[in-house]
Amino acid sequence: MKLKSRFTEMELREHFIEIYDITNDLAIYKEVPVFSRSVDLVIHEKSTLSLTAIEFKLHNWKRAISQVQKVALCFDYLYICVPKPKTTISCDKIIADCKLSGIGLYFYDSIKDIFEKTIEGIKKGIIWEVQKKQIINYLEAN
Amino acid sequence: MEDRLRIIRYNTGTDKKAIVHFKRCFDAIIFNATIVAHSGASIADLVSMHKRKYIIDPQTHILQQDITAITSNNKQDGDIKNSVLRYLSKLPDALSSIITSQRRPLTISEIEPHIDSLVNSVYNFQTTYVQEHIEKKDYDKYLKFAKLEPEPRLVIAPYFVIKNKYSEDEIDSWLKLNHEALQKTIKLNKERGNLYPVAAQIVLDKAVLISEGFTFKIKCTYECENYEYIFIWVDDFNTFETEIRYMKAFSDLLAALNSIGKKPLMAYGGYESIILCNSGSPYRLYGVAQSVGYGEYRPITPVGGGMPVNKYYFFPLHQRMRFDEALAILTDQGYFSMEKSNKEHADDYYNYICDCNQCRTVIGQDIDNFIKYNESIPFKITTKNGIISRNRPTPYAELIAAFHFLYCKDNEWRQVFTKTYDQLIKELIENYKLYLPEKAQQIVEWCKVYGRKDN
Repeated sequence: MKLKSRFTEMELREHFIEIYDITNDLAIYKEVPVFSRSVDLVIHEKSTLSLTAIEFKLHNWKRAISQVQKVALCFDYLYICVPKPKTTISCDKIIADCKLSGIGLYFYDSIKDIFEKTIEGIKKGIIWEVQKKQIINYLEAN
Repeated sequence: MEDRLRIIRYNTGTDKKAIVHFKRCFDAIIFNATIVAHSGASIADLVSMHKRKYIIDPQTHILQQDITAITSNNKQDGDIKNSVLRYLSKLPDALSSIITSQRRPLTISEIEPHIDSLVNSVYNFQTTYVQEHIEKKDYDKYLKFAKLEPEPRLVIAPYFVIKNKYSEDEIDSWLKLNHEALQKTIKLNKERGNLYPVAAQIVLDKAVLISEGFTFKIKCTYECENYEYIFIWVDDFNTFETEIRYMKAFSDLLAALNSIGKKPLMAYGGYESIILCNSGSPYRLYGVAQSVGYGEYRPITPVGGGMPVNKYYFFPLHQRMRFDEALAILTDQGYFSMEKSNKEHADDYYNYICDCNQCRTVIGQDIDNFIKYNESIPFKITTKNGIISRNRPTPYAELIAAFHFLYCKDNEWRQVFTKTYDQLIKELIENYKLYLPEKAQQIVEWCKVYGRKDN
């Protein structure tokens, strides 16, 4: 179901989950505690054991980048998901910052009601496997 | 070594284990008067068994606080905390009854006529209250026989906060009252046989530091004989973090107190205060009080503590940080890379980061054990955005983080006693450039203000 014209961050996330193509190999978890934070959405790809963290924000996309970077050491891929800005300048600014930080980007286009994967997340070079394993253990237990 | 006071602050019952373990690393233990009033019997046990020299902060600033600062729910209509009520019952009734019945702070004109009785009751509380509890204990006779009775390391005169919102006249009046309270405490102490050193305490908002002529006023207020120490508590103040104008103003304050022969002690401080206890420091401190695992800097009006998170004291930076921040630094430095074995990384950690007993116990020969500092339990909380999950540290993680912190503090004190001031400054800058370059410039500025003038 399409989102209302005014929606909350939680509704954006729920809509993302609704639309997201969840195969048997994928498991999705909301509000996963990592360090002193809570990650909005975690996608666990079981065959490759990869973990993806996604932060959702309605307005402050810079904060979304900063938040997802704080858990960077435990995830293979980092993404942010924000409503698509109306102007090209704003879109380009977000795209540039995400590219610079190696962070993937989903834009939610409310007119088309789709999530565009505008930038593919880059697999992270440095991951602390011990901490990642703890997160997987937590996910499997929940 | 005797010229510096290393003071440990007791905040809650959970601090006891760490304080007992590190009792030999500190010269005295400091308690807030409200805690002593509330838990006299257990404080008596602690000082009798473990640390004979104690200090009680008389917290007379409570008389100036808004009611919300002393109610258990921090609300206007909340109940006043039991610990505060108990302490107020030890203060002159003419003062405490205004707080309990009218639920408002006192004015200077209300305190002034009762300053003699306030000085008396505060002095008596600091010198007899714990002793009275000890006398009720079975072990009292053994302490007396062995002449091991605990005693105050020093006695603090009643003091009042200098708030930024005060007019110049009001600041002058409060300083005058502080001066009077100090003089009367010195006199009373003399009448009682000068059993304990007397200390003053300066408590102020940060902005007051930069007000015109303030340092001169402080000098005039505190320039009197027969006392040595002055505790300083600037509201939530850390000179490593603050703006340069505040760094400079604080150095002026220390210089002024040094020039009148007084020995300033930081009531709440971290390494930026400990380093100033080095004999080569041009702006001398003579001691620092710190808490177990938290509270190096503290606001005068208490605020909520927020959700507990795993923290780790990064020794080379002398800074407590969130676990993930410390982890990011170690990762950037290659401590978890595949190029070396976990044992080799552990050895590097001991060589360059920290080789305290706690880290050796926790990490052993495998750097991945560093994760134990992050041991946590997930819990759910309801927020405006719905239910979210967070981690909170396990009691084990809190304990090892506190022990690691206190080992680091002991190490810092040892370094301050054994290294030159120039060496300490050089290492500080080098470590910030290496581990936290984005903050290095701030530390360089600090070193410019607090460095030796001949360099």
